[in-house]
Amino acid sequence: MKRGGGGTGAVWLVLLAVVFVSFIVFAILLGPDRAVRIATASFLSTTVDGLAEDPGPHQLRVVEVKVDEAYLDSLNSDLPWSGGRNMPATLVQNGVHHPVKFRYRGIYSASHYLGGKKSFRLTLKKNNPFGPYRKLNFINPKSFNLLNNHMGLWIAGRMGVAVPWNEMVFVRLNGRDYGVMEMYEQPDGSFERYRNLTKDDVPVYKGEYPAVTAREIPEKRSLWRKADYWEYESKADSTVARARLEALVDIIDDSTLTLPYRRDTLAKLIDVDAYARYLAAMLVVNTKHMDQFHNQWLVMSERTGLFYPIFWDALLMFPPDGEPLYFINDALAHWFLRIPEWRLLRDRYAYQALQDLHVEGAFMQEYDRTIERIKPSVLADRNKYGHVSLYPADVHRNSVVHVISSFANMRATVKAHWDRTLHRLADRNVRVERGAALRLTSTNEVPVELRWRSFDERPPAVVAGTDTLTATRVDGWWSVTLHRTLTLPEGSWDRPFANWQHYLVKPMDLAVTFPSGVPSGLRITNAITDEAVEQAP
Amino acid sequence: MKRSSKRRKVGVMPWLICLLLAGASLVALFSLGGSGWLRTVTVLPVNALEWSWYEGLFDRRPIAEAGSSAPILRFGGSKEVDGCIDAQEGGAWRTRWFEADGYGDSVEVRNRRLGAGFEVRMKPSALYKEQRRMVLVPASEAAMRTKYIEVIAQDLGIATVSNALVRVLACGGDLGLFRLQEWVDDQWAARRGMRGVSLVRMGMDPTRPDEQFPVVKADSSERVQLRGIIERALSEAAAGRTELLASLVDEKAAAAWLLLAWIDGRDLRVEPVHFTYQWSNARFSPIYEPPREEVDHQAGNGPLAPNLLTPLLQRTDFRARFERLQAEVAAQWPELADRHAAMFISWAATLRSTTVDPISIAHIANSNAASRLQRPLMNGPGHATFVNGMVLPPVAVRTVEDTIGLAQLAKRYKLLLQGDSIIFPRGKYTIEEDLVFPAGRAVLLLQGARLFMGKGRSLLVKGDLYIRGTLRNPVFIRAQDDAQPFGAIAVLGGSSQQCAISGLYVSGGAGAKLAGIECGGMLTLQGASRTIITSSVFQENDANASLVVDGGELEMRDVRYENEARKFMHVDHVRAVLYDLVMVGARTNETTGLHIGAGTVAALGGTFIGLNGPAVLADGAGQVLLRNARLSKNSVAIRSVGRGEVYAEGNTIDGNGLAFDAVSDGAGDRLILYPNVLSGNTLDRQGSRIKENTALDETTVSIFGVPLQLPVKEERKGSGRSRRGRTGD
Repeated sequence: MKRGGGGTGAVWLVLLAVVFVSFIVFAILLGPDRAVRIATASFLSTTVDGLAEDPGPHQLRVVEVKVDEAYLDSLNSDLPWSGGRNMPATLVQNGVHHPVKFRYRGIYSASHYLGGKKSFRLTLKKNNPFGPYRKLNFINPKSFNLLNNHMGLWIAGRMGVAVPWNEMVFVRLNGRDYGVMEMYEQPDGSFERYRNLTKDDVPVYKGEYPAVTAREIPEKRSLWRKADYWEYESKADSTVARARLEALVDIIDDSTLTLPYRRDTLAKLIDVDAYARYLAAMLVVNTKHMDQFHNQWLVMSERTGLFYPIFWDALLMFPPDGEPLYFINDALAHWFLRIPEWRLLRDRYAYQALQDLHVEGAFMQEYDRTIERIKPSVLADRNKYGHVSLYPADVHRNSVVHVISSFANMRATVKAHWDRTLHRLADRNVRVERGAALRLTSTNEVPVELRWRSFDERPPAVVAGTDTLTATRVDGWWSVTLHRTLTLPEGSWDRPFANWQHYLVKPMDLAVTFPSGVPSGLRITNAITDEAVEQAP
Repeated sequence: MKRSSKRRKVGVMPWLICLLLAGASLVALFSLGGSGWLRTVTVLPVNALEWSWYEGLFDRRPIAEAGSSAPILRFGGSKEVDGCIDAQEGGAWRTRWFEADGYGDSVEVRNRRLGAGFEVRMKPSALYKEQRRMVLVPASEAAMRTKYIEVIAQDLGIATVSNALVRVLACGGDLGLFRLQEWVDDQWAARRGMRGVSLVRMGMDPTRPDEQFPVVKADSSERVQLRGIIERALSEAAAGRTELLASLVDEKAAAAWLLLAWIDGRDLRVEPVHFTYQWSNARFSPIYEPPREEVDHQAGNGPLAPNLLTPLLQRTDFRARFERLQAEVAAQWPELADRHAAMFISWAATLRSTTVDPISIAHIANSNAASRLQRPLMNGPGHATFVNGMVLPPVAVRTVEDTIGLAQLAKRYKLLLQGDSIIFPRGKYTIEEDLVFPAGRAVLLLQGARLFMGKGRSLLVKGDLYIRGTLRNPVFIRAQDDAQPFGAIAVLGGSSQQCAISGLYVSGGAGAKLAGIECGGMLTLQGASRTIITSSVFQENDANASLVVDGGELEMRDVRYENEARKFMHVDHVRAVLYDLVMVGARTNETTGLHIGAGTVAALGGTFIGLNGPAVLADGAGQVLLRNARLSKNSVAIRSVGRGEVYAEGNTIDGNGLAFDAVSDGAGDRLILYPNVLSGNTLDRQGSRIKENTALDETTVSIFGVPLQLPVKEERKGSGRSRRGRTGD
């Protein structure tokens, strides 16, 4: 008996040929790497994601938003330029309809406005379910693991750096699943009020790319060049804040000032401790995302009158090239890191954080907890969009396989970076030669502290190389810190506004003389960890 | 005629008819609301709570009717928006007409910010039951659990919010049953007689930047001061030093709060906690509020934000106190549930709840409770940056000073210091100075203690007060010189203080201002959560009242007031049950007998004789039940003015100038009369706000927490001994 189906086989062959040809065409047009990535993402999201049949109830907050489809069409038809236009919408929570304003977000990141999960912002009325917050961004997470920004902010917040409220949520738009997003407080003058620190607004400045006013992307500008480049985002009186911001910009812009003068003036304008934590967080989070041009905030504290930063758009493990110990993200960091005692303060905060997060495992516990919490929502999310290649325009649907592999990858990357950084900060290899003078040589990057007991009432003057250091008394011990000398890589410009630079630490080869000879009970420690140096032979 | 010995076969039909008749009888009995007497049949082996099951099966009335015992709150439309409250959008306040048992006014209503339900805000000039604000939460079966835990909270003496079941009608439509919950605000504190307190709210969710610092309802300098105190205590606790925290927090209330949180199963991170801060003793006391949402008993074990409660579990003595409390509550719960069975049955019937007992003793007594509550702590995001520049007070643990001061005091007066207690043993004490006993210390006056107070001198107790005299061996408190009155004996509570007095004879006080608070009574008990006074005698004095009780729960038995006084007893903001009070006026001045401000007061039995002022006066928004009392030869027997409501039943009212006086400008009846015996009064009634009813019902008495059927008193058989002898010492 003759079997039928010869025709079906031919159809399959034709279909396969079409797929193959289309792949070849795309490979030629986009290049094989992009084509493979896009095709893989598409294939996996179609075939694998549907296997999650019963993901279980959401453990994330579910945010239900309703926007008239006509309004959405109108906004969608003009992206990214429609990003600034607000439309009336409704937030449904506990069965109550809350009137809100809805707008799409951003023009500078394609993941905000390309693909099927566009970032948006809700502006809410006073008594809303998210109170006290009234402006919330709902961001399409930038990475496959969805968590790198959330966890980056968690780290910074734990390190004592001011961060916006940030929570992973599951969004439903017009009754359909929109997927896992990152809910993000939009800071403004109420930043301290929302934290029960003040009754009124405080001055807040935003350092961002210029606002889009026409249908073109404005030119970037170096924020610390001019006070005008910082947008005022508060209803508080700005007179004092503006004067201080101008003074701060002047200090940063003027390259002719001496280091002590610059240090003392900066200390009157910025919260040094907060900035040391901020820069330490940048090292621990390993990000370069806050730069000369954007992702910067300044809040003037009601308690101190000093500016402190907000850690914004953290992007965990978005490292600067070469992962330097002293990355210069902006002009302020250029000067801040040159001040040895401030640099040491930053290093100590970074070391403390790594002890807590890495050695004691606080990060991995929270990471695991968060993954567990978002799991049902990720499995239910059939609308995962992200950059599937390094090309900004390649925002495509991706799959749960991408998410899972990215979780593992993030775990490994974090561990590797923190192992390396901890090793650098805790390095104790110093060659010590004792004679009439003390000779210290080292190729590591850490400062060294010398401590000794003495009955001297007056601070002894210690000569280290060509510098005369005045010892300080702490708990009955005299001590001096031998800070390291920084330099820029060969060929780099020593300019505060140069982008994404870093400092290198020069090897140490120092003769140290004491007024009465090298003290017998001299203790030499790593100034960051306070652990005794391992004296190389 | 001989009956056939042949057994008659019963067919299917008779069986069916029998079943049908029995079933129909049960349905009729329950559905017509006539099943109440069945509960009193002692031979029926049915647990009180099981009735709710039978009611669920056989009570076929429509739900609305079955739940009709719940008070009805009516909301009207709004001029600002279309639709009724159930269709109200957003979180803004909307003005609507509101009516409920005699109250009718425009109020503001808005949707709750977290969870389903409404918040209602009254005008400051037109409070509803002394409340400016209240919350309405849709009542599910879980509301039963809330009531159970509220009863435990009251028994533990922790400040809590009250809950009631109400039916909400909106623009004529029935929205169903809601749980009406008190709102914690200044009025709430005032209703409990808490003076000189600030309210503080703190969250425990370390992921919320807005919950890392307390919300303090006070002026700006007090805010800064309290924030600094809390921050200092929490930073010390984070470093493992909890002494400062322990000295700042009312540990008894804290242990009770944690136990209740354990029982209700809440996720500690979800809802902020309210505290009172008592400025006079510098103590924070938590307020127990039921969790707003359906609780997740599998709540996570992630870290908590530093807070005033859970770090105390690091302390061995606090942990032991918590575990002791667990054991006590587990042991007492069955008896407590039985005691409140009538109320639970009423709630279960209204809710149509079939849950037998939502609280298990095994859960209360779980030995892992303390460990589960003691979770790791993590500061809120950015904490270190925000703390920079904050004014923090130095670390100063005051208990050390207290201990030294108390030791000196004990030496001077030969008092005993045992643990947290300061004991006045039998003996004579001449008090020539103001004595102040700090919070956290219980003061005990044992039988035979005799305190002779100097002119204007007072005794102020900020902890618990126990007076343990007997009629044979009373505790006496007197002025040293009859012509020179002393000040006051006062208890100023934060919220969780307890006071138990028996066998006290007190006279000769004039009242005083202590710790900035007016203590107008010779004995003033203000803000104590629970007070019991038995077998005591209050005699002549120059104070505004012989006894003032402001706030908390009060129970009195066999207490006598006599001789000259401006007023015998003034109660305000209390929930009181007074058994067999005796008030005998001196007839020489205008003495008021029992004066009730706000609160609910049941006076059962007792005698009010020869008072030149009103024997019973209700002039606030109080509700008073007066049953089986004798009011004789008084100027006015019962006077209800203002917004007070007095229910009088079974009283003998004779020989008074005026029996009933009800004058009020407001709406509603102020004096509700059931059958009483009146004779020989000059005038029986005055005022138009008097209503007559035929019989007292269960719904009315349940307001006062007393049973409808009062227990029959046992006849005291003559034994040949005097009354003093019969009371037994």
